[in-house]
Parts: sequence; C-alpha cells; structure tokens
Amino acid sequence: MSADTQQQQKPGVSRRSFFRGALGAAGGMAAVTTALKPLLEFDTSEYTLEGFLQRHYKEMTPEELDAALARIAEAVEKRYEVRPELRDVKPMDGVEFGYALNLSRCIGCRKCVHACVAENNQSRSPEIQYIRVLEMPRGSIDMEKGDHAYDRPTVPDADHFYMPVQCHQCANPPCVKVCPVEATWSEDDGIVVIDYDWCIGCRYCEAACPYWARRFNFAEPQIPKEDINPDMSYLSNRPRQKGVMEKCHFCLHRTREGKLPACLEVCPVGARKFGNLLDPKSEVSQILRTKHVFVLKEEVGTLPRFFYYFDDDYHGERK
Amino acid sequence: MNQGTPQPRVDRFRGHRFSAYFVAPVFFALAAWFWFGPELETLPEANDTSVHASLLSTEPHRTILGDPPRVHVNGFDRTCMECHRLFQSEEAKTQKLLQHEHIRMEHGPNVDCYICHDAEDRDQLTLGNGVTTKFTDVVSLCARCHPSIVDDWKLGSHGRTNGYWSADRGEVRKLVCTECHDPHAPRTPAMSKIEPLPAPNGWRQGNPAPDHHDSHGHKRDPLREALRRASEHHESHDK
Repeated sequence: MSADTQQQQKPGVSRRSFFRGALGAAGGMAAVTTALKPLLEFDTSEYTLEGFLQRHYKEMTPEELDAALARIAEAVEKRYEVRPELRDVKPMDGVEFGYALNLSRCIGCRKCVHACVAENNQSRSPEIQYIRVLEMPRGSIDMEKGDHAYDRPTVPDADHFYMPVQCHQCANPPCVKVCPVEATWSEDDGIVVIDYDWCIGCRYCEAACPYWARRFNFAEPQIPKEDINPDMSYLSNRPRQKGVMEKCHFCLHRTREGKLPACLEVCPVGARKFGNLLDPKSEVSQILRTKHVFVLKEEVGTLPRFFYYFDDDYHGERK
Repeated sequence: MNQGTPQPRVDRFRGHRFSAYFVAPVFFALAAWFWFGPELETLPEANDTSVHASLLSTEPHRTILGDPPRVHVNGFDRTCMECHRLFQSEEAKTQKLLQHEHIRMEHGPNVDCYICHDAEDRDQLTLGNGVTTKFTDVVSLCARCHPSIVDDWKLGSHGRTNGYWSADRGEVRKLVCTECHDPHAPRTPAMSKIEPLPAPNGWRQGNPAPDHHDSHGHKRDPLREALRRASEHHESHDK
C-alpha cells in the first residue's frame, strides 16, 4: 500500500459521513437490542449467586455441600411445594454394584421404564426415560433390529423377545473420558454419576455412549407437583434443570442404603437382578458364575457392569 | 512489487458499499420482523402423562397361605382342618370340587388333590411317602417336579426378590413359587399377556398418544409425525 493512497484515505469527518455513521450506529444498536430482547423474558428467579459460585461436587467441603443441599432443597420446595429429604449418599466400602437381566423372562411390559420415571423425578414433558425396552426379533441379537416404540395391545409377542437397555455403569466409561469439565465420573462402587450443577450441557457424553443411555434436558423439565418423589440425593434424582445431562444411576439414593432399585422392585416377572459383585453369595455373583451372561457391544471395550443372560432351559417359545 | 502504483480506488471500496447498502437493510428487516412479525409458535405442553401408581405396584401377584393355612369360605375364616376334621371327602379325588369352586385345575396331569395336599392333615402338604411339610415351605413341594427351576430360584436367577439386596442391610424378600404362580394353574393368569405401558414419545407434548391402529406394524417417525401434525394445525387455521 502506498503512502499516497493512505493520505487519500484520511479525509476529515464530513457532514454526510457523520450522519451516515450515526444512522448506521443507531440501527445497529436497535438490531442488537432487538436480538437480546428474549433475555428480558428469561426467568432468573431460580438462579442465585450461591448457585453460580458453587464448586464441583468433589471439591466442596462438607460445610459447602450442606449449604448447597439446603439451597437446592429450598428451591425444590419453592417450585414443587414439597419438602424434599435431600441428602448426599456416599458409596459403601467393599461394594461394587452389578446388574443382571434375564432375557428369557422379560415380557416387555415397560413397568421398569415408568417406575424409574416416578422414582427419579424425570421430566414428563418433554418425556425423559432412562430405560429403553427394545423389542427384538427372535433369533437375533442385532440391536439395529430393535424397536423401542412398539405399541401392541398385549405383550409379550410370540415372535419377539424384549431387551431393556439403560446405563451400563461401565468400568471403562467413554462418557467420562469425553466430558470436558469432569462433570461426570465413576464412583468407588462403580456407579457413573453426574454433578448436574457442574454439567455444561455440551452432550459429548451422549455422543460417546454406545448404549444411548444418556438423556439431555432440551426444555425445562415438567413434573406434576403431586408426582414428585421427595426421597432425593444430590447425585441421583433431585430435579434437574434445562440444559443438563442425566441418566440411570442404579437408584443410588436407594441402593447405597441397601434397597433394590425401583426398576427391579416393580418387575412383575423377576427378570432383573441386582447386588454386590464383590460378595460371592449375592444373586448377581451367583448368576455371573452359573449362567451364560453376556454384555452389549463387548467389542467396544466399555466393560459394562450390566449383564444379560438367558435361562438354560429357555426354549424360545412362549404360549 | 507494484510499489508506487496506486490501485484504483473504486475497486477497493466496492465491498464497503456492499455492506452499507445491502447487509444493513437485512438487519433492519430482521429487526422489524422480530418486533412486528407473528408470534413464535411455542410447543404445547403435555397434560399429565404420568402412569397411575396402581400400575407400578411392587406387591406380589398373589397372597399365600400361612401356617396353619387359613381360608375364607362362605364367610368363615377357618383353617383347613377345622372343616376337614368333619368332612374327610375321600371320594373327591376326581369329582368336581364343590366347596372350592374357584379352583381351576390346569396343572398338567395333576388333577388329584392328594398329589400335593396331605390326605390326613389338610393343614399340611405332602412330599410323598408320608412325609409332610408346611404350606409356607411350598418350595420343597415344587422342587419334587421342578428341581432345576428351584435350583435357579435358590441362586437367584429365577423369581422375584424385593426389599434389600443384602441381608446385612435389611429384609431380603425372596418371593416363593406360589406368590407368582397359582399352584393349581401355574401358567395363568399371573403369567398371561398384559397391556404394555406407554411407549416413549419425545413429541408427546400436548398431543394424545397415537392409538394402537395408527402406529401398529411400523415404526413411529417423530419428525414425520410432527410435520403431519403441523400441517393439520395450519389447515385447520386456514379454514
């Protein structure tokens, strides 16, 4: 660029250029204001400074955690008019949870799906469900052929078997590896948990999971007040907010206190088995020893703690 | 290179004019659209899609007889022997049951009551060869014919367990055979087909669940479904 041109480019502010600039600036301001208008309608009542400054679950001191629990409980009570029993349940020593599911027994009634929704305060609108029951053609274990939207008058159908899929609580979890903010991690008892207050909603984990086990809150979750389950813990079933991930956590607020998960309790055919893998006498341990168990997508190396099996006397026929 | 040769000014300012006279009006038009244009359509929210709690009962299918077994017959609450001390009914083996009309015998070839019930002491079950057991120990009786299933039940793969996953933490409620199966008709009705609870539907926002005839036999396509509903919505507005 020549010095000659630069001189030509530096004219003084003429009347015309001033008005042109002023008009452009005013128009730009108006456009920006308009674009930001939806922010005025944004409901900020549930956002507090304490919540914003809250630290990561693993970095909080016990006092900070208590304060966070109290704050969350208050927010829940304000919104749902129910006083929750919100607490933080730690993993137990010498316990590693495992799940086994008997595919010869499952009839595809979806009671587990809806018991899970009720237990874990999942959004009813839009629907969020942790368990997906696949209706699979007999003689194949190809998940591509599974249909989770089957809508039959009665189940089971003679030509299909039913395979519920939920979070497998992998020992080598890809969802944990991809999280850019470490909002999800594997606990000592094998449960992969999420700090809903730390999640930024990037959905990397959803993409990484080979089992389609993670769910994203695209909209503000809607739960009828009378359906709230007040038995809550920080890492499991406290109400989530828009823009965060959630998934099955083996009902840790129940199982870490010795109870069985809600999906198992409601199963009418006893297809679901749960227990401590480190206890050789537990139901899951005995099933793993005596039955031909398999895991889904073994080849991807996720090492799930969720096992499927068929009964040895299973003839593949139901009357 | 080309030093000292001024480039034609008009070419270098064409881009600026372009932004001034073309891009800016687009922003103004957008602004006007947001202010005065039609309201954005908000997705309707579903009414209560919750499943009724009665469908999610964790209770066993059947209540079983204790020890001694008490039954309600014709308004009386009696143990078996309180009546059968008087009525021995030895002939009832192949006759139609009169007092126990609700019992439906569909247990394969087992039509004789005394295969399982003790003929002398009706408060007991018989294991054969004069050995009896209590009603609460029905598993021993079932194991006579179904040993492999009882083995599976013992190790936990067959049957239901409720309550706690370890006896150290609380009561492990291991349901016995007759809490799911009717001993007189083991396959039905508890193990019959049932209606499944609603399928997942991310688009079920204020829209009723599609009826069985609508979606039966083919996969529900949420996007296509939404487009169909949107077009119906607009058609009904045009009329």
